Amino acid sequence: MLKTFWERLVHVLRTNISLTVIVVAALLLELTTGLMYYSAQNIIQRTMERLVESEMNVIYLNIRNQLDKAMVTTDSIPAHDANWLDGVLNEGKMYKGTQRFLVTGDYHLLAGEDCLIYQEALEQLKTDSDHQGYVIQKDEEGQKKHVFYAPVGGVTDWVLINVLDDCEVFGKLRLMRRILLFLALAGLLIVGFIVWRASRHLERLRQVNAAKDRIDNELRIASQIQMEMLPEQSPQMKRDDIDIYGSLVPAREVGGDLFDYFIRDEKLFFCVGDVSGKGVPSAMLMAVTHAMFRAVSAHDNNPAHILQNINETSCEGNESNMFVTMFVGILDLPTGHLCYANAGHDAPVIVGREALPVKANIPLGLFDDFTYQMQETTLEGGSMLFLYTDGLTEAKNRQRKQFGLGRVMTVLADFADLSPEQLLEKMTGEVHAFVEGAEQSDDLTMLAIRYTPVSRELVLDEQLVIQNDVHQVPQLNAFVKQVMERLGIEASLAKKLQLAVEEAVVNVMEYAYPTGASGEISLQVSSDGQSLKFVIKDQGVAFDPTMNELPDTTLSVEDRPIGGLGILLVREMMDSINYERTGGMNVLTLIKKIKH
Amino acid sequence: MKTTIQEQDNQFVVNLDGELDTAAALETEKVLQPLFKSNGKDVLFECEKLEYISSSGLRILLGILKGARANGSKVIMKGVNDDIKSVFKLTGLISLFELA
Repeated sequence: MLKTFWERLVHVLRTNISLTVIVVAALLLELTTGLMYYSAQNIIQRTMERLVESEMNVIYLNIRNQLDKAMVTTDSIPAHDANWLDGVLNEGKMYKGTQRFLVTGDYHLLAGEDCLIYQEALEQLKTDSDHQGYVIQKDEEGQKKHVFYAPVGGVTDWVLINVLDDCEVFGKLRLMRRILLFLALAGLLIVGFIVWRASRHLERLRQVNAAKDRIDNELRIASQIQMEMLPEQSPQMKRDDIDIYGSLVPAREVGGDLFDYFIRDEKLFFCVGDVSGKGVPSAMLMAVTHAMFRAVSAHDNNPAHILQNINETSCEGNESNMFVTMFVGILDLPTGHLCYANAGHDAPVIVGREALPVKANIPLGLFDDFTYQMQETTLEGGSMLFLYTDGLTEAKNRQRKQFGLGRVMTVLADFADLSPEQLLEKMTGEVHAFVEGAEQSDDLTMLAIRYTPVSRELVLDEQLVIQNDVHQVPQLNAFVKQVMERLGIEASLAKKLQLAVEEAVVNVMEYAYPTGASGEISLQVSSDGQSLKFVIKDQGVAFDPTMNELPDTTLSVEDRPIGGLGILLVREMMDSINYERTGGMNVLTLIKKIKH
Repeated sequence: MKTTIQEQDNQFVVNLDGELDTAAALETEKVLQPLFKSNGKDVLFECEKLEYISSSGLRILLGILKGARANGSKVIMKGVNDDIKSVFKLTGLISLFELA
């Protein structure tokens, strides 16, 4: 306990300079008081000695004068009346309790009352040859006495003994000394108490500060992680047909907004979401939602299904009743066909025109049995989609006025020709100008997507229609071989492409048409000189081969399934694979770059 | 596509000649039926003249390999050309078969 206190004290003094200064000043003050006390006692003692000396001198003079006047001699004592000498002796006492004795050279008491202190003084006097000195002795009651003695001189051999009562002389001083000591001790105690309290407070403050630092640090890392979760403006996205840019500015260190996009099988998947509330709880839900979006959309091409899936998972154990609004879109890049579904989020805007017609549905995380509806439209070449969270429209200035959808639409209309990145910068600038430095109250997220499909002149466009029958595969292979030859494709690559097309077509035969059912499959091969495009169409049941799970090629012979190699080969041989169900047809598009 | 089986030196020797596409695989699978239930003999595929193989062809080979492994016998692919080798690589079959 004492040790920990001492350690803490040392720690506090070492870490807190101002407190140390106060403590040192207090200790110096204590020391000064002590020094002053001792010097005061010394001064008084010396003063007392001097006083006694002068007092005695006065008495000697008096006695000698009187003796001269009375013409007494030492031999004729006591010729006078004994009271006379007593009177002389007791004149001019500074302290009332002072006792005086007059002794002859042969130690005969001339004046004064015989008592213990006198006897003691006499003993001392006898040992002193020059009859002059100062000793401290105790009387019968144990009181301390200061005994001064000296010869009267003149014609006499008398010795004067002057006894001062210590209590009378130093009593007041001793009381003062006690008071001083008490004050000093009290001061020390107070200083100790202050240091102790301060040390406790400082320790608590230090802990709170450390905790705060840790939380700040964690928040900083969390913020970093959250920003890293956002899609990078990666080179993969540097495509001719898509220009996309997103920005997210959280109101606090971490936010509850999210946006994401990626391209899979020539489809752009994108979403914008807003978790209710803000700060850490929202950020956690945001991370979960983001992860779910990624996981679900990795193997689902239907935005309503994606929302449905996230909704069901979000509803599980959602005791805190948090919810997420979200818009999910899937843009088929070859055709511009846009499928989308909404979960209570603000409708995206087709820049320069109007908001996308969107069914609101309900936010995610509320009712797990809600069925989300998909909507579709086709984006024209050159058009731009603008998605945002309510942090944009509800950005407030100091007068609590909102930025509003009207201003958003105006900015979009005025700057429709900017690139997505420039547009978002412009919008951010407008919002900043509007709020005039008012504190950002909600996360602000925007995502802009410009769709610019490229069409080049075709150098080749051939079509083959075969029956849903594997016996027609040689015919298919012959057709592909012939097209490859016409394009001058090198034999090894030609074989790979032939294999990919065969696998894709056989896949259709196996899955799109039930056993025994007959139907047609068409293969269109076209090239713009840069890349080769194979489009396989059939009117069978909806079947999306891009959703097939690929086999694990690292398994042993025993564990290896026999099937699943076909689609694996298609994916390996082609640069991109894309599936769309349009007009009651399965449309599978395979693309291979032939010139880099 | 021509497929023949010969039994010699206590092993089956299969000669694959031509393009083993999905249509041809139907016929080839029938011819190779005896090999699926291997009686412990090794199988040697002579592939010098095999120009092309689709996944249905690979499936036949994988089926035969599974049967052979179960009986402790080997399946050896001989003279596989580079194009087919790359297909074996992509599908991970290269680590399962013995390529000679």
